Amino acid sequence: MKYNKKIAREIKVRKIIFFIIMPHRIEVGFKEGIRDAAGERVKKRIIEDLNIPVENAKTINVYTIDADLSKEQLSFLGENLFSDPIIQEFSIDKRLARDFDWLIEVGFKPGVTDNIGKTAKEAVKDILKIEVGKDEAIYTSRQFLVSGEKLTNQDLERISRDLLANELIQQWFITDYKSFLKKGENLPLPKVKIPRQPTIALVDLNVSDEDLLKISQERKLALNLQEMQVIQDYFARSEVIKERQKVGLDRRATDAELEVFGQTWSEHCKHKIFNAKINYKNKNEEIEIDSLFKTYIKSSTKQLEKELDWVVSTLWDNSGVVRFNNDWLLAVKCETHNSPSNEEPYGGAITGIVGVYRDPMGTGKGGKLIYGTYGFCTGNPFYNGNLKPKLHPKRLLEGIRKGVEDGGNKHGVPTVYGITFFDDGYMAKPAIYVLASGLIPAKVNGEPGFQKKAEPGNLVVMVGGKVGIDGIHGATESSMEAGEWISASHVQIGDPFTQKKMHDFLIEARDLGLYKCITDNGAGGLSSSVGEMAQFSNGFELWLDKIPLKYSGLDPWQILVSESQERMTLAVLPEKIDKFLELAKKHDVEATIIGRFTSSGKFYSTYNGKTVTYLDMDFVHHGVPQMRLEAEWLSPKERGFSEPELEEISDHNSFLKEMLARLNICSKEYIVRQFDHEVQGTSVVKHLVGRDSDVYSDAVVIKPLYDSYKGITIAAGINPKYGQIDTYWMTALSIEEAIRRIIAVGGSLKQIVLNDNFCWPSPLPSKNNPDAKYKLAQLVRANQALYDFTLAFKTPCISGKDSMSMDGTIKKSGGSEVRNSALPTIQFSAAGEIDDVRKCVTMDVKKPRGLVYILGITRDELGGSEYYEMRGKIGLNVPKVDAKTAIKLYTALSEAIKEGIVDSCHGVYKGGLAVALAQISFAGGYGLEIDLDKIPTENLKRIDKILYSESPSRFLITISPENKGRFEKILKENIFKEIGKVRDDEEFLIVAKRKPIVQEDIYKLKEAWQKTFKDF
Amino acid sequence: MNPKVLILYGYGINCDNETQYGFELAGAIAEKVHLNQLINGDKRLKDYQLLAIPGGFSFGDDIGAGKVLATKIKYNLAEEFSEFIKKGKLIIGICNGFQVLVKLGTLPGFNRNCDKQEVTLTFNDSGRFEDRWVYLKVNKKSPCIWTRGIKTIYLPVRHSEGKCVSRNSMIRERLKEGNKIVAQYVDNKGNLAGYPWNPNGSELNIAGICDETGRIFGLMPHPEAFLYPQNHPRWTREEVKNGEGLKIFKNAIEFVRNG
Repeated sequence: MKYNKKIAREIKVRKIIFFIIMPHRIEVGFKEGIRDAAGERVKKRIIEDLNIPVENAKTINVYTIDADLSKEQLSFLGENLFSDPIIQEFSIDKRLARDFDWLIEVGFKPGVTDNIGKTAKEAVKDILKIEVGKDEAIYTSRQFLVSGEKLTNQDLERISRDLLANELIQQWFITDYKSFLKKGENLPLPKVKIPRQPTIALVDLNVSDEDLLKISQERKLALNLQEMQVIQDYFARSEVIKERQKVGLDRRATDAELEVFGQTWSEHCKHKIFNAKINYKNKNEEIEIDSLFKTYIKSSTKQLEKELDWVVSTLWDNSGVVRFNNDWLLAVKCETHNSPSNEEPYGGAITGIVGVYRDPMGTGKGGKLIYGTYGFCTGNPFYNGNLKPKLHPKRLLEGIRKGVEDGGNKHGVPTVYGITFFDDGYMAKPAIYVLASGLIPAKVNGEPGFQKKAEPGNLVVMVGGKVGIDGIHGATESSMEAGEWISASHVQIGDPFTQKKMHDFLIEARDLGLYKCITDNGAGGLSSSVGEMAQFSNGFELWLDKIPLKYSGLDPWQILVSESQERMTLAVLPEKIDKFLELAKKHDVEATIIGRFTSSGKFYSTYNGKTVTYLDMDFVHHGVPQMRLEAEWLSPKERGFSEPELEEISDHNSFLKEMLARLNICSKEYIVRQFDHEVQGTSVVKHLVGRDSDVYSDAVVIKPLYDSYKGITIAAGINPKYGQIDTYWMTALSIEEAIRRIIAVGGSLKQIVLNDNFCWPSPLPSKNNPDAKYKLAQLVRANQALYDFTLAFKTPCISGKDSMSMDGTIKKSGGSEVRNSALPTIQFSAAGEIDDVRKCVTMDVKKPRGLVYILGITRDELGGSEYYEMRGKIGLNVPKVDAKTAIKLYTALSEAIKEGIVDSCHGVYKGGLAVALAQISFAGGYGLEIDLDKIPTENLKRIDKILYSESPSRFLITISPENKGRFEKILKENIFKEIGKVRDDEEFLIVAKRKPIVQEDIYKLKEAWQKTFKDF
Repeated sequence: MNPKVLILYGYGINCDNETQYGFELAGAIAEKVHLNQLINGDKRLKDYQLLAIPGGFSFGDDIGAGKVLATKIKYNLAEEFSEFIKKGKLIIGICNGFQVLVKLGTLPGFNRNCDKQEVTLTFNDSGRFEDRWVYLKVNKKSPCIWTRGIKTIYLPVRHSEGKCVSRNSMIRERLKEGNKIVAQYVDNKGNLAGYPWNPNGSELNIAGICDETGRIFGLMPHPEAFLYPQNHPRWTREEVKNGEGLKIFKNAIEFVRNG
């Protein structure tokens, strides 16, 4: 195994030794006759996912106690802490497992976060009232007892590797019953021990270009030659050398300094592609773009910020901020966490969601979290083709889902909304979107809540978790292709419990005015957080020896760049520090003074008095050279796209059911149910609505303040399929979808904010990326659409992120490798203001005899549609957005909803009119009668096209007959038409030329829509 | 004087704010108190008439839901806690708080010191966390103060460990006979039913139980998640007049007021 060797080497280099001693084991299992639900789930998945016939699976939890405890203490703990006397039994230093054919025990590798072990250690201290040494610990592992007559060793290998464990973070052994009885095998204790003194290495940069690149590669800095040369020049400057000599350094760079550049100048942190100078060719036109970010995103947002008085703070802080009401500001941030979710989906996703929570928490004076959302783009979970990705999409999806579940639920933040999108381009790297939003008081201690400032003399305080080797090089590695290099230390497991404690503490500290400035420790660790915050004061001194560590032996550079999670960095006035630390103690939160802000202009850190870094702040933050890139657009026709010639559908009933069952259309209720979407008591329109509360609402609504009816509506727009034809229209359509969803529940164009999140295949030229110029042109066009349509709709992108390496290599069944790249993907996450949540509407039809209307025009726009894809085509006529017409319509519709005369409202999205009609009908529990001839179209005659066109800016509305006059009056300047009525039975009927086209029971349609993921 | 409620928070308790709001709406003075404030003596349990242990994921649900918080209380606050009970004061444990109360033995509180665990709340039969609204039938004969006047109630469950299991059939009988079973999961017609109506496979469809006096109440579903009509999942299509959960808090406050 090449891969294992790599990790082994990594571990060797870091000189981690597995200490094998004989600690105590407490094993806890279920009593005879008690249901083991976890075991049953494992059994189900072994059978269904791996196709291995098991008869039984049971679980035993193992706590390995590496501490000096007496027998009495251990049995006290077994009885009072580790087991539940009603349903469980336990053993101490004795095997509990019996009646099985095979046993697998899975535990963590050294250095991987063991949340349960951490809690157990704290509980033991508390119960026994003893001190537990720094190097003493409790480690958790789990035994899976599997039975089945025909099981082979190979089967067990597969069960371990493909279901129960991930070799990146876990270790395991497999034993059969006989050998288990003979020799009691144990996992090596996952204790980290680094048996050497921390050192500061010096690196001479006065070397050849070749050697410069070697330095970058060997240290995994991910810096290119041009960047390395700029750094080389810096260290050769005589004034720089002179200053360095004063603090005991010379012309050589320290290892930590190189790491600072690796982190700060990474694609992840500096967005070098978005800031590059680009030469863009489109036929005969050729333009030079000096930074996509500045030219399109920032330019649009800043124009809107000037125009709209409710936009408060954008594009500089950890999240964008808008006004919610006179007393509160709303901060919103959407992140992607694609790497390492592709390798360790659970750890990646939980780190992602818990990480994005720190963005609103670290915005302005600090936000209290009020909601989160998710977006999962993976390969087809039912994939059964030639590609053999390390993790099957089903396992990946389940891991990601579980990560967001635990991260959100245990943090007490409702995960209110989300999307899934499946395409096999996400087999190498999935796109994982996580969004968090928080409320900040408009005024904190008399100062505006969105402002923050660290001043010279303020103390640097680190709050939250301790630092370990986990998460070193996250910023650089996420900027690489999957398969290139992922080290075990890059993968982390977020700890929502530790962070929830910190969150509660920080909100109280904020309200007491105990700190001046706050930011999160994410990518790049302290190097980034302190570095960025110190731009306010223009310098800092950091004492790396003061940082609390998970275990001793870390080198100063590791301490500086470690991305160990659940940490925030704050600036605290010396006179407030005692109160601050006291409050931290109340909340049982770690808080440590680790340095002070200065105005020296220097990025200065020391370790026991020795200088570790001494760099000019200005150079660190502004020295990165601008990239130059080429982009060349080829029109869809030039790329061979055309409209297909298709035969009409013969059986519309079965076709519609097939359409409803499609991966990107059907219900994934099981995901929504496993997220706590109601904690905090603010839920108003849930993601699942209708008669049986099980059909997707267009958007969700929360009422974040108990004493006000003002609400926030939340949705997202995404559809990478259109980008196959033209990313300009894909982007326009995604913006439009996000906005339209907001309008559909009762939001209005008065106040909608967006977050833009790009997940793009690499547009950097290399030998295995021959069409880099085209991919960059796709990016340019996406940005142009972002500019055009955010300005047109007046919906500013207040924050966003890009992830520019959605590529990787995957093995094929034959053993050869192929490059797998995602479709250019962009998600727009929207948050809209709702004046009064009591006016909100949902998509389900409400009562018989209601009148059904369609708003907007249906065109021959099926390029990139579900319909064409179902028939094996892509097409050419990608839907187009007419913003002017849309704005007029949305404004009128918002007014009608506000008037209270709209019973139900649903946008027409993927799958077109047929899907939307079916959904509003089975959601409401009443049939429909629709006349297709009445649909306003642009010369569209074909029934299939009318039913499945994906023209944007359309809605389906139902109203009571008595409101017809008022409704039509409000809508009068727009294209709309009454197309039928709600029936009082359960028949779904669409007619054309007086002939039934679709005639089906609504519950049959619903069954089709629900069955795809029913067994998930 | 408005009754004073101590809303326990900290260490991953999540529903403290809405529980506080529910009690405030019911007319109480509800104060959030951090567990460590009780342990270090900054705040005293005896200064309050009611105690609420809200829902959430105390200690991340690690080792077992509610287990570590229960041991924290048991080994740091045992005396104050039992004094509070002996004085006849009111306690509600919602979701995670209910898990804490059964693991402490406070509920059903069959032995004299109310500290022997007789039932547990364990993993849902589905093996997963679920957020869904459930119908509850309230036992008229139950002495529970918190549910007085309530026949049925509709609330969300949000848990992965909510399946009620008794130590043995004797305990089960005692729960039943003594009308300690306050609320049971039923279908939309009011009949005892299986999944998904009973979301976790609870024996006897138990959703909530109380102690002998009816003053201590534990409930898996979340009354604090239905404090106003718009919390209801179908308020846009059905007439919903009130937040049904509020009644539970009002009952307790009224009881204390009437002394």
